Amino acid sequence: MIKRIVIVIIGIIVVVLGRGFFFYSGFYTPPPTEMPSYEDVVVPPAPSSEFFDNVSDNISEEEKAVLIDLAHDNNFDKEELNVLILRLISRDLSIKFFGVEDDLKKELLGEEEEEEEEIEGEEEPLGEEEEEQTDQEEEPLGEEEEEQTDQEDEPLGEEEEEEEEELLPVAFIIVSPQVEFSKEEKKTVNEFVDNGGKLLLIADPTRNGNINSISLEFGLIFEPDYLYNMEENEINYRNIFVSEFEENEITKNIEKIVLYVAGSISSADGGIAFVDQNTFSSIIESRKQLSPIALNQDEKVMAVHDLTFMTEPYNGALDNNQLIANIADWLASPAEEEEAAESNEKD
Amino acid sequence: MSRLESTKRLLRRWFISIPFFVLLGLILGGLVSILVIPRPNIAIITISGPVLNQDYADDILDTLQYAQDKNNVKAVVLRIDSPGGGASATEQIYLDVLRLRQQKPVVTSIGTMAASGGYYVAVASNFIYAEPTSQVGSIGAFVSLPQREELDEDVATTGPFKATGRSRRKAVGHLEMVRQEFVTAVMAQRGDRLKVSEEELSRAEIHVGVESLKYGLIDDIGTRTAAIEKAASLAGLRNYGVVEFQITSQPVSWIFKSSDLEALKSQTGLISKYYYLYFEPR
Repeated sequence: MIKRIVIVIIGIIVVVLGRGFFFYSGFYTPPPTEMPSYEDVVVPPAPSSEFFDNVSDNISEEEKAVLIDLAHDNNFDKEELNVLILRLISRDLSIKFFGVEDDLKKELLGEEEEEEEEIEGEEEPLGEEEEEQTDQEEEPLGEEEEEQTDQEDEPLGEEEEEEEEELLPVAFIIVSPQVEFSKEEKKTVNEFVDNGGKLLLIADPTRNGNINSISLEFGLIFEPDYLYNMEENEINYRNIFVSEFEENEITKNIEKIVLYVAGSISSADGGIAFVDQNTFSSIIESRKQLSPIALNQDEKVMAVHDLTFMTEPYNGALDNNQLIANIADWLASPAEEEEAAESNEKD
Repeated sequence: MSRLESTKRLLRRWFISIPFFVLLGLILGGLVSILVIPRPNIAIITISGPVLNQDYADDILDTLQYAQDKNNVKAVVLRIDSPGGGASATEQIYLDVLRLRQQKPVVTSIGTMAASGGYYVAVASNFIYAEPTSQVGSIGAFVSLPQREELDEDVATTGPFKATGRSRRKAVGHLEMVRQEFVTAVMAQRGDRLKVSEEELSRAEIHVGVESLKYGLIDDIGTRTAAIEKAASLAGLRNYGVVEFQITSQPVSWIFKSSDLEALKSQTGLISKYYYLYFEPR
């Protein structure tokens, strides 16, 4: 009986093994599976630094104003300039905003009345020989203006309110304009800069605009790119560190800044702040020394291709506050030519 | 005489009864073997389209669990045709595929695309096939940053971030954590097979199949058939069946265009979500 049972069992085993060999050639050996460990996933702390705004003693006590453009559908909120405005106010600069209904020539050069009179009297000939006549008329106007302001200095000192109304700006700030500057406006801004005014141009790659319509007048091109660094950055590849600077009034006491989605600026002079070799442009591949901050040749026009670093809380990162203070100092200080002219007059 | 007869009887009994019991054994063996060794199957699970909603993710998770529990399923082929999806949904699938892989081999076959979250899921498998022109990669994430809180006198909150969830900087910080998770997962699962650095992975580039093979993002060029054969080989199968496990719910739409980003941003509301999602350029 036992033998019969053994026979049956052998029969069963043979069939089972046969089926097993028919279907299987081996067994699955799972590879060592590394389950994810999230302990090493960390966010580096924000690179903050302490900052005390030491207002330079060289800044004259003469009352000055800074004009901020709001007439070109500028893509920013006034609050975003709070930090810069605060630095300007602490340097005794008053802030004026230039709106759509304001006259740029009047606001920047104080020339509205003369211009209107001329236009009224010479409407037809202006249409035919516009350029020649304006050229002829500008020079005497420039002279008249200087004489007028000189003459008006003393009586204005006695009547403060009037002086406030007619206070001409020493600097003009244009942030991310969406509307192009007209020929007339460009001419006015050019004249303003020629007369010793400072021009600060700010754009941001996240806010498309027409900044080049005015920056090109001064040999500065805001590139349609953004800068990034995959190896060393402030928690995101588009938040780049800048630590190479050309020695300059604007870069004094600065070791390292962080820019938050900055673009590059092309200029004949190559800029004043440079990104490192691991920072690349999203568009430009051929050039290596990229600069998000630049000055024009005579250092009266400054271009910055990032607005975010000026806003809270990003201004608190590394030396960003120092850079903003330096920009405010630069805007508040007279242009070098003016300084030289003033010292010559004294001599 | 009687001795001869008894010997004959014994032999007759043996010759008649032995084949009977052998046959009995074989028949019983056949029945037992069907119960003990069922015909092995390779299950095909298709993940297609963006995995944006939890319902779709749950369906995929249920199907993976079913494949894991089913005795006669000896290997799984994941057929992926996805641009990714929500970070959370993607991670759930990734973790469950890893769990499944510890019991049964999982081979991925990439169709048109396994980008971003689609690739995140793929790296959990034992072996990845893609077609020469499959789109593979986009290892990264994005988030819609919280907007400035609009204060309302009629609504009170208990903390400064109750309405926004977090500051914008912190949201970017979390995004960096999400990036690290993704990149770490790819590096850990691909191991020595990977031929590119962490920085290169973080560029979130999309590659065609041939290029991704060169970079070690996939293991070989091959179709679904190759994936089935590989799965069988890993599971040690000579003969097998192939079954398709259907996922009942389907994604809403197929490929995202970058112009859809605004729509997605508006859906995220104040408290933003993280996405492992690839947008087709315009």
